[in-house]
Amino acid sequence: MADVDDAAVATVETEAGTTGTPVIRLAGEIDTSNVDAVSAQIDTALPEAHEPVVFDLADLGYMDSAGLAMLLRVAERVPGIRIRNASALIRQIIEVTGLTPVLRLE
Amino acid sequence: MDLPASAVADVKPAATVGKREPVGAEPVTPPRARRFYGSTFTVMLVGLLITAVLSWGASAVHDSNEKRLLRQRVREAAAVLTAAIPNVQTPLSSGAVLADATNGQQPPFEGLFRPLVTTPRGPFVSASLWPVQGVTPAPLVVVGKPLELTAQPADQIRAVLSRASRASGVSVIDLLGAPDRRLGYAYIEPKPGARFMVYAEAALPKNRRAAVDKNSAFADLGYALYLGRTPDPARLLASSTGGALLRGRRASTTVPFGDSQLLFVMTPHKELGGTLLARLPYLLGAFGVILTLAAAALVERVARRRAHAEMLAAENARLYADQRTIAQTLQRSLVPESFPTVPSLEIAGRYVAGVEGMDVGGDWYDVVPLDDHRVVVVVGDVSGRGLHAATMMASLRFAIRAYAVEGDPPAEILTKLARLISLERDGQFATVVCAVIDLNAGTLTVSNAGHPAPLLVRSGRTEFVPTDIDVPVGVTGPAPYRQVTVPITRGATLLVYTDGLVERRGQSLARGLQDLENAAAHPNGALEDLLDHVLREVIPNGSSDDTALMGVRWQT
Repeated sequence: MADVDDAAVATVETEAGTTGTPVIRLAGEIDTSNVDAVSAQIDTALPEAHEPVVFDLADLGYMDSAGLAMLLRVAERVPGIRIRNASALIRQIIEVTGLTPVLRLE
Repeated sequence: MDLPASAVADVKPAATVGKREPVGAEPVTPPRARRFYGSTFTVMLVGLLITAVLSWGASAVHDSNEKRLLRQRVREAAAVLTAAIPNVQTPLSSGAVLADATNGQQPPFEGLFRPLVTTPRGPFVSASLWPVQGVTPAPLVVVGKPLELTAQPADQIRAVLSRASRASGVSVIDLLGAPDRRLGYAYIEPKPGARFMVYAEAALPKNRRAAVDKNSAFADLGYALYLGRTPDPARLLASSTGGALLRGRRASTTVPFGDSQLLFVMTPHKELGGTLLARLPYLLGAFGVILTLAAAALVERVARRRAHAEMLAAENARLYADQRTIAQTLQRSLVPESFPTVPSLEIAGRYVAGVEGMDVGGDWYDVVPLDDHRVVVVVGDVSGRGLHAATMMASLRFAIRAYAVEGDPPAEILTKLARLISLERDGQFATVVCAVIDLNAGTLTVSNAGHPAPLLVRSGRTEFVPTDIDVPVGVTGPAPYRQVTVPITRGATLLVYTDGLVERRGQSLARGLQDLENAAAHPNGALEDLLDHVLREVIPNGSSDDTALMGVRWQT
């Protein structure tokens, strides 16, 4: 029963990267209140073939463990996803949780 | 230590959950039958009050408007009436002058009055000439129909003569009681030595009714005309109905008529200001009542919906609380309330619920003694919250106990554990630190599946155990898990914890870890006190996330 007023807001944008790798840009905040919605948006944004994908987190202000779990679920299906422009905190969390082999930081 | 007490306290409501009947079977409060809400009454009352005031206001405006218009029409009608009076007065004064000049001869007088008394709608039915002096009053000349006055007693006739001689103008003689209803007009020239009186009679309609011409400007009005100042039915000259005007709005005025007065009363047949203004009070009333009823119905509906929604919300909150209690009970029952007694080891734990959100977390810690000198120390955190996290945590906890008792080293335990949970299948993963303390060998062996590294404290010096951090269990990564062994000595304290202690929004993880080191380095006595001190220093306002903290001290 997350209070609607407190729900985090996030946006998901996709663009073709310079090297041809799709870039999914996450912005705003991701926590348990909106992780399902963001996850559904990412599912539609993912390329059909399991080709590598880059997540750009430059405009992502906050992401809790639910958001991390969401990225990990993507990584389970799409091996070799990369994380670009992660904030210091997100970078630390990825490093501290030993996830660098799964979510490769650029 | 507060954990056992609170855990026991929370078990009780959970026990009732099992006994509770299914929701559908519970006696649900029946919807209040046909009982209206207070707000509905208020809206109705206010609506009707406003309607009444508006209707009354419109009615008052209409009434005032009608009165004003009627007074105006009466003044106009009185002016028309006044303008008609010379039709009576002029022939009489002309007759008097003529008679004086001709010494009362018949032919000139008859020549003057014949046309006036024979015209069908002329002013008189008969005219006559009388000598002012004389023992027995008798007319000299009579033109037209026989006079009603001559049928009157002689002193009545003398009274007429006397009255006419005193009047400056026409005297109006009331002959309304006569068989042929008439009004007499007497005139004597107002000069000394006047010799003749001209007397004429006008016939009044027998039934006293004289309708207003439909094309007249006064066709929308009824009228009554009385001789005198009062509406005396006996002196009613004519009216539009033949009788007195008894009903409705009336306005009256008096018009001087010779030596007498005419009372003129009018009543409107229809609304003078138009029908819209007349109907406005009723229209306003009707609209007001309809609007009020509609508003009341709407308010009632909204109130019912709200009550229903509140009931559902309360029901949901109760169901949610039930579920939460189950999860909480499960979770609390899995976090040890007391620790096994191991020689030379002091063990203490704290569990602090997160201040954000209602769901329990999947944090846990555990101590499993292997023999008299080895214990397995575990701390873990299942992703997500609620019943799912709590049940997964239970599975992992018991699996670790089983692997530990088999004598597996930490890395082996985590490698096996990783087979039990899959992010793809379960939607969950867990970070776990699994450590073995061997007091005989003086070693600490740690394997880390994505969890914040344990902290070693000794003599005020702190050091994070330099573990290789592998992926959390449930996440596919490079296998197998690694482990690291470090030496420990008597007096060392191992602190394991979950991320709620060090991870905070808007603050770097490094800062949280630094705070933990600073707090842990503080010199203190008992292990229990150290844990309290750490919690107080690192998360003084509590953490958004659930926080587990356990300490294991090798006693000196």
